[in-house]
Amino acid sequence: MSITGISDAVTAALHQAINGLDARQQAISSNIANLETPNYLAKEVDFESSLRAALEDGDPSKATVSVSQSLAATRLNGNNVNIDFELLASSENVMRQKLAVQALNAKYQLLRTAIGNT
Amino acid sequence: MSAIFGILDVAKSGMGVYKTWLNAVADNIANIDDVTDTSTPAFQERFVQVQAVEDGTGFGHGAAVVGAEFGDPNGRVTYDPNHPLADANGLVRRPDVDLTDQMVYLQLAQRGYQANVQAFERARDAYESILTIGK
Repeated sequence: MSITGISDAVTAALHQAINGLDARQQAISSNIANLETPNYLAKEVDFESSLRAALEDGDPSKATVSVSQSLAATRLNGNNVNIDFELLASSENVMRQKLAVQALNAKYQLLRTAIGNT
Repeated sequence: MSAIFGILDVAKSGMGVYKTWLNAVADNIANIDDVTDTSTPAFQERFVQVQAVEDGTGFGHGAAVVGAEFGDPNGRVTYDPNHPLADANGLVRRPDVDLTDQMVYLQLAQRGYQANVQAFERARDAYESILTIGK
């Protein structure tokens, strides 16, 4: 994604954040779908550290999303999905995503005011 | 990222898996008192085999039923000489299904299904918010 007059570092960062949160939501949903699947290890998604580094370098579009397997202890069936954690994370994740969307919309609202189209 | 609104598919796959499990448990319980004569195999308990699905993104793409396994066809041979199906020694065959096990599976499958419904609703929430971008 290029940074142009309309799309600046802020919108690029928010775009990356929404992307990362979407990936995390998918991983959480997958974990919940595999709640009782034998030998399934929960997936954990991280994009914040990469996004922070990319922001410090001045180009948020360089941020990447990484996924790893949870190191939590497994149950007898070799599965380590923790349902309380996943449902909590799912709620929090959606709220974070809504927050990022609101910020993006606020940014666009500013732009609309600037171009005289409220 | 996979298909548009892909997380809904992930939650749907989870609901499908737990619904299949519920079906299997219901079938096991429905047949728990089946009696056969000793020359016929007993009702075999149904087990559902489930595997995680990957879509190349690494974030996972839900779960899928990949097959079924069946319990012991020998069942439990019990002495019941008054039963019409009893053989010369007074034996009949009953399925080797434990009701306590089935009730536990029933709870697990039901809670799993409910959790996936929640995951579906959360994903829908998130997509609804994303659809407001630019409004």
